[in-house]
Amino acid sequence: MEREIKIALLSNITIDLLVDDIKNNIKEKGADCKLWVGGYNQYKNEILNENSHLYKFEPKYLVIYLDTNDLFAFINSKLIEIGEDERKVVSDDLFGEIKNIIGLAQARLNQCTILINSLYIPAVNILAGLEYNSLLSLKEMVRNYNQKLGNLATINDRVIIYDVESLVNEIGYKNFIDERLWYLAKMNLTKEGIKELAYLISRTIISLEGLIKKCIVLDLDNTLWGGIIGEDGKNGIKLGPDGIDRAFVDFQIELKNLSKQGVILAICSKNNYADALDVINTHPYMILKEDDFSGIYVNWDDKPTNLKRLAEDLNIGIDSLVFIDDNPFEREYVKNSLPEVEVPEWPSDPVFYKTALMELYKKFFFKTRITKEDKERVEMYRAQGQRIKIRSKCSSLEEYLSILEMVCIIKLNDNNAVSRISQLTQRTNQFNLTTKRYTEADINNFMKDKDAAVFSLQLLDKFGDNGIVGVIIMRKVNQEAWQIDTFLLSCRVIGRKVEQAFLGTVLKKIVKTGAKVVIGRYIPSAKNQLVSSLYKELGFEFNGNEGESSLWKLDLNKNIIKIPKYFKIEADL
Amino acid sequence: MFEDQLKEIFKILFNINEREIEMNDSPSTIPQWDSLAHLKLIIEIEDRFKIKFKTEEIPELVTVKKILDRIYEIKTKEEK
Repeated sequence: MEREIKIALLSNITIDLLVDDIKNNIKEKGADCKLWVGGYNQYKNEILNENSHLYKFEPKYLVIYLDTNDLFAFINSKLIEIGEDERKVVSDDLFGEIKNIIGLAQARLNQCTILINSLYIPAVNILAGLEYNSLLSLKEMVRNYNQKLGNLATINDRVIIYDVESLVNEIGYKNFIDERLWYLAKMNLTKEGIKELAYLISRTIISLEGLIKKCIVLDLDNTLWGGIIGEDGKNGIKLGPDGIDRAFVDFQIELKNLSKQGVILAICSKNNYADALDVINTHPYMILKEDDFSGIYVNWDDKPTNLKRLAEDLNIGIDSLVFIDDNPFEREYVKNSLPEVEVPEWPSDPVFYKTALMELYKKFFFKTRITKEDKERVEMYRAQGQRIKIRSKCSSLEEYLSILEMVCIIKLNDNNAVSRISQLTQRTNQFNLTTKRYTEADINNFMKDKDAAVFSLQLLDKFGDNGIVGVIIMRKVNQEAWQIDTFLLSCRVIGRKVEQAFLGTVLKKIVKTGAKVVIGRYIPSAKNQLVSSLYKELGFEFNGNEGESSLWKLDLNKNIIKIPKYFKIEADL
Repeated sequence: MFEDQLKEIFKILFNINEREIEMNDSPSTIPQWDSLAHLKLIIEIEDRFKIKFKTEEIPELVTVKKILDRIYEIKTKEEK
C-alpha cells in the first residue's frame, strides 16, 4: 500500500465501534489507515493537555464527533427555565467553547485537518409542541450552533464539517439513535447509525485524500431518456415534464449539477451518431446539451473500445471512469474487459435513477469544497477536444505550439491557490517527479516556511484558460543549494514544453537568492515512467541513486533552462 | 437453526476459525470478548435476529448458552 493515513477520533460518546468500518471503507479505495481513538468524553482533555496521546499520535486528520443529546444534556435539565433571550447566548457559548478547542488543536497540530460534525436535531424532547409555537425552541439552539460551525468551515481551510444533521434527516432519528446502549456503555448509535456515520466520515477523508473519480460515462437509450431512439424516434422517446418521462429529466438535472461541481460527463452509446445528436441538440426537454459532454462516443463499436478511446482523448486514467448503463449485458461486458472502470449496478426502474446517482456521488464524487478549477473543468476538457483537432492539422509540433498563443502565469506562495495546489498533488500521477501527496494544511505550511517556496503555474491559450496546471515546491538545503521537492504538471498540458518554461522561470528566481546548485529527484511510481529522464532532458547531471530514486544536479552558474520562444511569461515573484 | 446462526456470528466477530464455538464459551474462554466487543456482539445479534434485548439484561448475557436461550425465549413469545 502506498500510504498510511493517520486518523484520530475524539468524541463525547464511546466511538470505538466506528473504527472497523472506517478502516474498511478507506482500504476499499486503496489506502491504509491507522486509527487512534480517545477515551469516552476525553475530547476536551486530549486537546487541552499538550502532552496528551493525541499530540503524540500526530494525526493527519482529527475527527471530532459530538453527540447532540450529550452536548445539550445540561440544557435539558432546565429546558423551560432558560429564558428566550438566554437561549441564543447559551448556544453561542457552547459554540465558542468548541471553536476554542478546535483553534487550540489546530495551533498544536499544524499538519492536521480537523473534521467535525454538524449536530443532529433531537427528534424527541419535551418542547415538541412548543418548538414552532413559542420562542422556547431547542431546535433553534442547535441550528444556531450548526450555522456558526458552518461559517467557521468556510473561512478556515483546515476545518471540514461532515453533515450529521442531514444524515439523521435522511435515515431518521430512530434508526440512528439507540438509547439503551447509552445507559449501558455511553454509546447511543444503532448498527445502522454506526455504519452510516463511519461511511460519512470515511468518504470525507477519501475525498480530501483525492481518491475520487473524474468522469461519468452515460449510455443514451433507457438511461438519459426512456425508449430507444432508433425505434421510437425523437417524438416517441420518454423525456418530458410529466409521469415517468419526468424521471429522466430529473436524472439529467442532477447530472448537470454534478458537472457544475467538476465531474466530467461523457456519452458512450450504440446508436447512429446523427440520430443521437439530433435528440441532444433539439429535444425540448433535454437538459444536458452537447456542450455539457466532454466526449461523445456514439457509434457501433463495443463499449470497452470507446471507453479506452475516451480515456486516451481526454488524457485521464481509465480507472477514473464510472460507467452508467441500463443494460446488464453491457455492464457485465465492460466489467469483465476493463476491470479498472467502476461499473455500478443500475436500477431497472427509472424513477430510482436519481437516487442511484446520489449514491454514486457519495461513493465516488463526494466533495467538501469546490475549487475554481472544478467549476471550469468541463469547459477545459471541451477545449482540449478543439486542440486535438487543430493539432492534427499542423505539420509539426513547433507549428502547433506557436499557434496556441500560450501564456504562463507563475505565482509564488499564492494563498488563493492552496486548495487547487493540494488537489494537484493528490491527483497528478503521470507528470509527477516525486508523487508526494499534500493536504491544504501541508501547502499552507510550505508557504509560511521561509526555507520553502511554492510556485504555481496557470496556463492560458487561444482556446481558453487551462487554470492552474503546474506546481513546483522548492526547499532550501543550505545557502548554496535548493532541492525540488515537488514538480508536477496536470496531464492535460503535457507535451507542450510548458515544463521548460515553468522550471526555467522558477530557477531564475532561485538564482536570485544566491543559490548555485539545484537538486532534482525522480521517485519512480507505477504511473510516472513518462518523466523518468526529464531532468536529463532539461540539462541536469546524474548525481547518483538513493534507494529507488535517482538524483539530478543542475549547476546554476553553468546552465540555465531555456524558455521556448512561443511562451509569454507573466511572473509575479 | 438459531444456534448455527449465533455461532457463525461469534466466529466472524471474534475471528475464530480453528475450533467450534461451545455453548459454555464466555469472556473467560474468548479473550477478545471484552466490554466493547460485547456491545458489538449485542448489536450484531439484535440486527441478525431482529430482536431487542432489555437494557438491564444485556450485561448478563455473557455465555453463548445464555444468549441462545434468550433468543429462543423472545422468538417464542413473538410467535404467540
